[in-house]
Amino acid sequence: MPAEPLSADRLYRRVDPAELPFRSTEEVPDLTTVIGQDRAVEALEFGIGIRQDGYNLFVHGPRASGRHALVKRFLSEKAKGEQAPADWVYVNNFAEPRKPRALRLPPGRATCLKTDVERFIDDLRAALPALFEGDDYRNRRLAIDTEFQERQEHAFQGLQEEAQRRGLALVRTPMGLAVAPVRGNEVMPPEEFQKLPETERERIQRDIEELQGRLQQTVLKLPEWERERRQRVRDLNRELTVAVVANLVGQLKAAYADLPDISQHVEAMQKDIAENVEAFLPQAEPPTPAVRPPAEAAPHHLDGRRPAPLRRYLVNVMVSSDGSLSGAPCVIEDLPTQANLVGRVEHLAEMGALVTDFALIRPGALHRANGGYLIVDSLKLLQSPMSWESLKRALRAQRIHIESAAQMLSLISTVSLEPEPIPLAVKVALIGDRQLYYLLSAYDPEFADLFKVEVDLAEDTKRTPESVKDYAQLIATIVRRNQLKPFARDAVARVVEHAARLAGDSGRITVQVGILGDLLREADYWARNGRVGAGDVERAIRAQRRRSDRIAERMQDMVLEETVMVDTDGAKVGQINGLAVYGLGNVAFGRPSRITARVRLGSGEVIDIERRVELGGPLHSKGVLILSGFLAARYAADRPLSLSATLVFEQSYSGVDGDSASSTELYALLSALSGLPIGQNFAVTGSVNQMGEVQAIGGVNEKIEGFFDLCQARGLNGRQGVLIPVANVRHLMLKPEVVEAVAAGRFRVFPIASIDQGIEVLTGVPAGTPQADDQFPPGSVNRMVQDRLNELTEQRRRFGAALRPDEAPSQPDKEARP
Amino acid sequence: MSSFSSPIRRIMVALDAHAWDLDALEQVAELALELHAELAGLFVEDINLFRLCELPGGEVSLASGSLRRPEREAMERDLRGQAEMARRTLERVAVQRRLAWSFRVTRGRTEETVLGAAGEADLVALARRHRGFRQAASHERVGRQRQAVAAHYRGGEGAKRVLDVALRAAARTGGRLLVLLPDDDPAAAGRLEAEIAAVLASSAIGFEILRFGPSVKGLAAALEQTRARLLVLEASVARAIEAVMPEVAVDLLLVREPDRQPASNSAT
Repeated sequence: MPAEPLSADRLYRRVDPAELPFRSTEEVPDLTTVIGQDRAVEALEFGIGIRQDGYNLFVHGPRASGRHALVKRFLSEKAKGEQAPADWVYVNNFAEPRKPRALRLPPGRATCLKTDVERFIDDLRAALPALFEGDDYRNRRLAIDTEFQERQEHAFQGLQEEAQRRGLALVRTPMGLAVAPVRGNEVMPPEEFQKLPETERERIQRDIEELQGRLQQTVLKLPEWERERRQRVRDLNRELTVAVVANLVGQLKAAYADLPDISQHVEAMQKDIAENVEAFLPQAEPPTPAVRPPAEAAPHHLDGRRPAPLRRYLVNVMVSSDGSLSGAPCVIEDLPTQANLVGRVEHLAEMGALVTDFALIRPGALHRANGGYLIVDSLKLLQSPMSWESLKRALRAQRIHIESAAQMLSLISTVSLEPEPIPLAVKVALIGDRQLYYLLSAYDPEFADLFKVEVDLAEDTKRTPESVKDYAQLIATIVRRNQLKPFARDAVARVVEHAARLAGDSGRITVQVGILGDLLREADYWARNGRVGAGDVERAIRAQRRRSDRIAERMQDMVLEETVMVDTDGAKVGQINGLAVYGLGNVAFGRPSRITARVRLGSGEVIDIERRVELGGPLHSKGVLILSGFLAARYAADRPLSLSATLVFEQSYSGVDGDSASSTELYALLSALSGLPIGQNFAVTGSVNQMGEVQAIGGVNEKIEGFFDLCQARGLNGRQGVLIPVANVRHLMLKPEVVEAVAAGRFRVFPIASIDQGIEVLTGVPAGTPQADDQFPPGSVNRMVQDRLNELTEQRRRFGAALRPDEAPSQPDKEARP
Repeated sequence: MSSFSSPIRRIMVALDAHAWDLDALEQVAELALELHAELAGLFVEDINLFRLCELPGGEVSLASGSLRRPEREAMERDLRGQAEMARRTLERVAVQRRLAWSFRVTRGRTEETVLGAAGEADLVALARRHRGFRQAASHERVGRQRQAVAAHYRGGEGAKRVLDVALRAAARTGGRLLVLLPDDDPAAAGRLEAEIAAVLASSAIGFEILRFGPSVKGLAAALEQTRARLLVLEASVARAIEAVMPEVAVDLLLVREPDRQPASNSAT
């Protein structure tokens, strides 16, 4: 059946504004459901509801599909109805400062604990100095000091007296003490000593040696006495401190008696305070153990009111619910670096060294989301070094283990903290592209175990009266949320029509709300009165296109200038206009391209020149092989296909892929074989199968408009048109200029079901169907093709026979020559 | 406080191998700042130490208890090092307060040399608090101990000057003032007490009068009993008690009698 051009009403499926039951979006209520995402919503509800390990979500869908907003909305609503999670704090581990302890508290009590402990410390700072300034302490301390001073003095005094009895004295030297003979208050001059009788000198020498020995023994006792004195002082300090601390700590213990871990920590703190009471005294030197505990290493400014030694008693709140937060947390981490995810231990440069303590532990998104939900963009996550590994590790272990990338990779060996891991119970929702989801599924064996819930967001939905009504509500919602001018119903209708165009299907509408929102905002911008009309929407659409069509316009100019050769009128053998779609960023446009075919005697090969030079992709090659199959099966089923054909996209300098030009190439080949010229007023798109049926392709609207724009620029003559697969008719949502031109009979769009239909339109000659003798009728395209192929086969046979030696004449060679 | 009839222009700080407590040195510097006086450092290399090098026996280190034979060269080197350290300390303390300062090193017996040089200055500060054997042990301060300033009072213009200086020192340290009165003659002591009360009547500093006697041994006992940090006394009195000075573990501030003018500044 010959193909007939489509009527104008088949080229664009309008939304009749009159069918919309409102005058403007002001009358339309908000959309409470999610349009076109039933499957995704079901998956989301399932993923949020199920409380089992590994049931985290991966939400994938196209960009601008509103996936972030959708997930955030669902998770936030769910989180609101849930219980607030436990608070967590890090405190000093007095036994092992390198391993700070993580303590769990009921919601909201972490901040109270921090405040209570600070108040307790402040109270101690006031009470302890007063205690140590008091007469009672001073007298007892003085007694200890005096006792030990007297012990020392007594020891030395005894030596001194013994020395005096022997005419000697203890003399202070720059480095210590010496025993020397004296005269009065002076050391005996050496010359006088030499004048003494030898026996006297020997006696003095013996006495000196003996006293020196005793002096040495005494000096060696000094450190022991000093240790003993310090211990006595410490005991005294502890005795007094314990009483004061016990009095002040009572309130603290009572307030947290219901929390055994906190009580245990308070007791450890109480014990530590008794051991380090000097830290609370003004101008006291901090204790100087061989290895400084990290808590003492940080400078004062971190907690301006408290000196560094007291930082060890502080409470570092990692996460705490406050009064304004109801329900579980729902955290969105925009910058999912490893540190931002699992937390980090900060360091400070102090005297050229990096120091840290438990108070410098900072929470990550997992801490904040613990007990609730965490939303992360998967691409950002994968782009951040070690983040993906850390997240998986945390989810697998169900614990947050703070470890820097440098530590994980053993890049640094400086001493740092090993904070006690915090138990993790979080639902993670990753958001990303489909490709990422499938790549992770294929290449990361842990992915499927940790992200068991796939939430697949659709690009579009069916266009039905109900969905159009929902779409109007969606438009109204976006308008109100963005405080845009109301959209009149003709504007809404135009937006829905454009949504169908964006979906590339007159029977579907896009649900990519990001793109929709952009259009609404831009239409609002162009609207010059209080309401947005269809004209404003149209202007916004054209302005969008205008902003992005510089390259498309330049390419068309090159054709008009005949730098690139594309005919739009006349007829040529073996030459046809194909249609290609160019995707640049967010825009796509179609442009015609000349395809030519040449045939000659050969061994049945159809050469895809694009493939030979590696400019053609696999799909294009597949199309060429299919058309070869069709050609051989239809015209040379019982004989060798004795042609060699070449196919090429003329003036194509970049890659070509897809099979949408396979029918076009076949037409060119048939023209070359039959010798029938093809009308250059046509452009063709459509793939072909081995049965000669024309199949659907993508980008049909852009392709038609691409050829239309060129013809319009050269002048429409009524003969021009595009051949498209009949299966693509439902996708047509052409721009108004095309529709108007078709309505006016100045342009045509042919729906093509088979190669025979198409070749008839292109050549104006009947294709011809096989008759009883399996021959095509004389004068038909197919007959001409068949005859030409038969002729080639015969030529080949003759040519082959002439070359075969056993069939050659028996005359000498020279006689065989012409 | 009263002002001196003849101003105090020069304060000599006697420095020897036993380093000054930095706090005490700073107190002297503050006094100099208040009185617009210059600081003159005098480091005495005790000749007794050199004699040790030529006598039998060794030096027992207080840090380690080890015994070593004192060598003259090593002793000189040690003393030079300590003199340099003392000079730097004095310089730092003086420069911080923009005080004029000088420093010189001499050799002799410490007390004798210092007392001999006392005529060159209006005040002589002599560190003695850490001279006792108790220095061998490390000292640990407990809180902010207020220690007393003692003034030896025997009446007359010189004693009033002693009282004035002691008052200033006590005011600076926030300690109390102990006035030590010789109790040789009870009637005279009573008169002196009334005199002291009259002088200190307008002072805001709390004071206490203690009688001691009957000899310089009594003074030493009183100082030990009160644990005074600083003793202010007339230089001539110091000469009289020179014999017991080694036993007195208290810093001394010797005030020149008003009728004696200091000698011109010696070379630094």
